[in-house]
Amino acid sequence: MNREETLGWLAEVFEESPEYIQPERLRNDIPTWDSVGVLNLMAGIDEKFGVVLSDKEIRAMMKVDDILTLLEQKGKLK
Amino acid sequence: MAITFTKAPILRAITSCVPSRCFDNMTDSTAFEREEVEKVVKMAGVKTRHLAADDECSSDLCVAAAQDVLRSLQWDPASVDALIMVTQSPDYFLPSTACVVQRRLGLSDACAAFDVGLGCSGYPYGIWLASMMLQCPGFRRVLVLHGETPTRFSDKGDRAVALLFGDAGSATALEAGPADTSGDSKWWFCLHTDGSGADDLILAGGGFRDRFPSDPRKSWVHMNGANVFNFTIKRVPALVEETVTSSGVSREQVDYFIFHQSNRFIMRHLLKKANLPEAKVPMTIGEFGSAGGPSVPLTMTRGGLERPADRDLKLMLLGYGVGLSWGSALVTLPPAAVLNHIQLERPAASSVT
Repeated sequence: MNREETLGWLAEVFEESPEYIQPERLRNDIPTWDSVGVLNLMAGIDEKFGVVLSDKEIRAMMKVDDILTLLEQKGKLK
Repeated sequence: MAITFTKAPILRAITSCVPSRCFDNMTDSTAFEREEVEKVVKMAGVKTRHLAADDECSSDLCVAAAQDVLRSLQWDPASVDALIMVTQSPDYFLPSTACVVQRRLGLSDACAAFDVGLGCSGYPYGIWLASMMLQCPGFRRVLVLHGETPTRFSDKGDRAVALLFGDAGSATALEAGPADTSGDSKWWFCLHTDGSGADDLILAGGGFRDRFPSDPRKSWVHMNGANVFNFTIKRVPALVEETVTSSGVSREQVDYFIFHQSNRFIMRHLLKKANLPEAKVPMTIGEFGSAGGPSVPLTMTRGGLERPADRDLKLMLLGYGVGLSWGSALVTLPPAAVLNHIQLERPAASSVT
């Protein structure tokens, strides 16, 4: 998956429109990025990319771009 | 390495027991916004839960379950050689809950009785201990009681746990098998521990490390959801594989995989990772919530197992969680085994004397 495709997928994970889930969107502005959303995100990233996120990595994510950057750093985005 | 087998005992009966008070998360929750409740219910899958009253303990649920087992098997209480009480919600620090229960059940003073302090992984451990004991001279009949009341140690305002937990007890009656050990008559066990995750699911106050905590939050269970999630996805699929590989029994030969009912969303994720069909993994979390380790025997009695009259069922029991601790038991459930489920209707008997 590339960045654009991953953004679309994250919109599904957070049950928001693709227009809303943009790289600079803050975690605090995504109501579904709560404790339930975190589990959805963790399970989704494990299933889609085979990446297990640590508690530290989860806590460090402040905006959508942080998710993309982390996946890039792990070599999971095209 | 704690991968082992025992000569198969005979599983005679299991009774599960829940408190009579049933709480409907959607209609009875007042501590959270309806939208919040809907979200958690949808994700965790918990529609209803049975909650212990303030004077109801795991021992009360287990005693009722054990009395039902003794009655249905027509076992003389004096014929029980050992009682294992698996719980992390004991009546007291001392004496052991097993001793209190031994008296309440009218078991003989020649009966061994002791507690095992394990939670979500407790059932496979309890069955393993009983199976080993039944290989020893002098032990013919063992009762494994497993009960927890997590709603009594969870903060009602903590959304991560408040809508999730239910309470349950159980009693499992095992009897020594025939003397020959030929053929398929083995039960397999794989048992593990990783104490580095002890803080991830902890009730930090009240024990002797911090007997009277100044921070009231330490009186309630604390869960690091992300770490517990990572623990389960790392350990449980590997546990299934390890059990299959060590026993030589394939996934196809196992009739049901009985999971500790932790959270429907997480369980479904685990099934995918462990390559298990949903039809072989009964779920009771919707009706009873997560009742800790006793959710395993509860799912054996209430999981809608299809039981052919002409052959044993092969069951893989999987417990995982607090400790961190995890384990499996690969056991057989004969057609004649009595599976029963009851509700605790009567007031708790709380006095030792």
